[in-house]
Amino acid sequence: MKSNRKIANIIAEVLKYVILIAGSVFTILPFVWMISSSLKTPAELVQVPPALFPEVPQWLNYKSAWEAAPFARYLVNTIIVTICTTAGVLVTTVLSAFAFSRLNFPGKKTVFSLFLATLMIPGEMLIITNYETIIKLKWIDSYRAMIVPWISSAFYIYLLTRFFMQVPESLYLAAKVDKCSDFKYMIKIMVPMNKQAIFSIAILNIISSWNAFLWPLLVTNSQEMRVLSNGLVRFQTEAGSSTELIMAASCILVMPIIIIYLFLRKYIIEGVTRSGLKG
Amino acid sequence: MDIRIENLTKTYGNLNAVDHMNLSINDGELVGLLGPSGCGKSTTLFMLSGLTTPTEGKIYFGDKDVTSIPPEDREIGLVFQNYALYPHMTVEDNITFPLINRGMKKAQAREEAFEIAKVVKIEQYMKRRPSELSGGQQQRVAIARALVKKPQVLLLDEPLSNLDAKLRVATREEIRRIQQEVKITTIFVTHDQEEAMSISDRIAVMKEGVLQQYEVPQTMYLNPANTFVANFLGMPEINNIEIDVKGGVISADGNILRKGASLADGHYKAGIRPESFYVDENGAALEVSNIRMTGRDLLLFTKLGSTDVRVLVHSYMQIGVGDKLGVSVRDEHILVFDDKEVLIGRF
Amino acid sequence: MDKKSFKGYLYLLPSIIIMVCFTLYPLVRAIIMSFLGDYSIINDSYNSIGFENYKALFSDPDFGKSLINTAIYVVCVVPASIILSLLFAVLINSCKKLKALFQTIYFLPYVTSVIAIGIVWRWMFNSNYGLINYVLSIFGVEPIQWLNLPEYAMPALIIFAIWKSMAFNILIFLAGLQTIPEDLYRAARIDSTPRLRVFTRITVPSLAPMIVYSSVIGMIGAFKVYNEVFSLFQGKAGPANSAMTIVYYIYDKFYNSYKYGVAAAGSVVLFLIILALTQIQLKVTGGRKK
Repeated sequence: MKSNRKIANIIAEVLKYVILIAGSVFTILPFVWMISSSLKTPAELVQVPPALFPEVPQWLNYKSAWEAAPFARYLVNTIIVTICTTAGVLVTTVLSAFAFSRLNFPGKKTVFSLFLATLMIPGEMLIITNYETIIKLKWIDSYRAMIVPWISSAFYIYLLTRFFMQVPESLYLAAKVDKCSDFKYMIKIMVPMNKQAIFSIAILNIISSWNAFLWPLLVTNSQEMRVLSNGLVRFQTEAGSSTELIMAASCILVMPIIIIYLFLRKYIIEGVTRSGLKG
Repeated sequence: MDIRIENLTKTYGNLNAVDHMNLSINDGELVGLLGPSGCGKSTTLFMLSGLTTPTEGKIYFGDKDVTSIPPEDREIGLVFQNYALYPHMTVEDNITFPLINRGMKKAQAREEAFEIAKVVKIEQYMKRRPSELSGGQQQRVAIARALVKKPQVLLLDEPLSNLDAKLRVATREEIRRIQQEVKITTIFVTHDQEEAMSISDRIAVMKEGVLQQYEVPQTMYLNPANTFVANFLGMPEINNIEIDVKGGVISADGNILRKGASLADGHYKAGIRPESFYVDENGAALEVSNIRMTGRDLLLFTKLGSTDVRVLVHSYMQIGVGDKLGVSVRDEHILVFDDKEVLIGRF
Repeated sequence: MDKKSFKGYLYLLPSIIIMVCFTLYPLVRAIIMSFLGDYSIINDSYNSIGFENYKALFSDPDFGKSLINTAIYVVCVVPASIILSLLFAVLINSCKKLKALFQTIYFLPYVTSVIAIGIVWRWMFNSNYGLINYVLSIFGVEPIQWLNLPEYAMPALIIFAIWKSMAFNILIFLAGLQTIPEDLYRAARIDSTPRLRVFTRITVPSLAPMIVYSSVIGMIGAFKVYNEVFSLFQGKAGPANSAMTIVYYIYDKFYNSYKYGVAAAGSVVLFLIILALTQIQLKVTGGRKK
């Protein structure tokens, strides 16, 4: 009886790991396959059965891909857009969250509800008319077209407001008595106290800016202004059947974020969890 | 700095949180604002600090009307119940914060912080974060931060309520010591009568926004202005007893408590503290229904006729549940109130 | 402080400007545009006002197909993803040492560019040299024309979408599992409750709010699918538009056919659907709080 249960437990344990490992393989297979394909020769790519890893890693594939299209330019553009958008988001988010959490002004509740209500509007719906706006502003093919519409996010404001609200009011009153202005209180107390949450927001925004695809595609038309994701799609069409080069180019787009993810996993997971459990 | 409060009132909707309060505090005094929660004591403190604007009335610091002066210009130090230390700053940065806000140079601010840290005895923790300190140490950092700018008045909101019982006694002595050393007019809010009595020069008892009595602790304990104050001060609580007086003999439910009191005949409300009884074989007979050992004393729960009465006796007394005990009340230990519950006198 | 002042608006100003210009204005504009016949962005011209665009929209078989595809997508992806995610989350949560490792692996798809990884999936779905057909051939399955035959386009999209959407669900469920008091499990163990019963009677009910949340987020996401389609079918909506989705339809009308009014009408329909889903979510979560 006792040993039966023991055996059942062992089987359950083994089964658990079999399932988990199978799931892990399913999850990382596309990544492994992307990297391995990017290092194969054209012959290895079409070989049957396919080899998991190339015999000799073809590092030159990366060089060829890098040179076949202006990826350096794309990379610089992506970095510029990502950094500027994220910086803008942080500034507007901190300012707004501070106003909503600590300052008193007429109509505060109404404005906050309005901000929250915009979360229900699908961004996909706005793209058409925003595109029209960008045309009318004559911003087409500029960095500001890719950056300005995205430097404020009701969602991050909502998230940070909730963090700011957890800071006891007595800290604010204490600072008041100590002759600290609102703005200084925000910079010296609120921001450092919530630096982890702000950092999480920054990383989440970096990821979404980096991966943005449709908007930059719409508002740019010259090669000089293209970002990586657009460049990759363009390259895919141009490179045709050079799968190893397409895979190498995909790696160029994916790897920086994966590296950030592996190092800052804690903040990303924390940020997504916090925002996910708001319900 | 002496403080004068005139007709101070704060109204929230229909509620008078503080109702036409008048109070004068002498320079260097330590005053306890005492009362149950919701009595308006914290509101009073916040009006003194300037964080809450009064609906009516005036506050004077010395001769100066400060009613409309914002908190940062009032020269006050304020210590919050939860200390409100900035968690991401070191102790030193917390203490220098008010100085640097006032434009003081960093080096000088550090020096001043160190001086005040020595007074509150936390100078060895200057580089630590608040979370690395005990509750009592955090409290002292908060006091240091409040005192470092050399305010005229120190305000403390429930300074001891976040501490455990043992630390509370030690810390209240510490507050008294610091206050004496710095010689600063100090007002603190508390709901703990023992705390208020043990360190205050004077206590202001409040109830539902109205000041009930403002007195030196001993005088207040012995001569509470009304039944509310009588009940609020003292642990174990005072006994509320209905008494009859006839020819100087005070009795309750027909049991004689005391003879020879110079009080007009009649029926009164009275308060008798548990420690005011003494064992007297010829006195009123009590039946013991329960016993609590408190250390120095035994607290007896007894019945005097149909009234519950708490009596303190010496702890070496041999007595058990169900025993009978004869007691009388010491001279001038029966507090007698009129039908408006205002003190007539001690008899 | 007692006094109210307008200073708060100074702090809100940057956000309000962006919000008004790029969220509220375009929302109103899109609604207006949906009622203008033959509208042109270039010179603001239109030749009629009315429901013309909506009529065109609902009589277009492609739009009908996009609705059906979205429905198929919701019915397949959302439940499958949630059930699998629940299973993996519970298993990951029961690991002690490897928990962090598994969590890291399973969350990876969430941070990855859909465009890039879609291109990889496209390569894996390749009918001649793709990894998937090779693995299937081991089990004796004939090569499948995943990306070239209309009947396999949706299954390919669904597999890709499940892979992508599990990451978020697992994370939410793992966080939810942390909130279940350990004592519930201890009590169940003392009562020698079988594992499966523990799962169905304790774990799943405790996770119910997260399951509802994930379902709604999953559904909303399903209605917005675009990048997945674009990357998997190299900018097309699958063979013979077989993987047409609502958002793909809208963008196609707007970007390729210049039918701005119809695109706007489509986006208003999308907005209404998402609004309805959000209301359901608010009702469910709000009801729970009470």
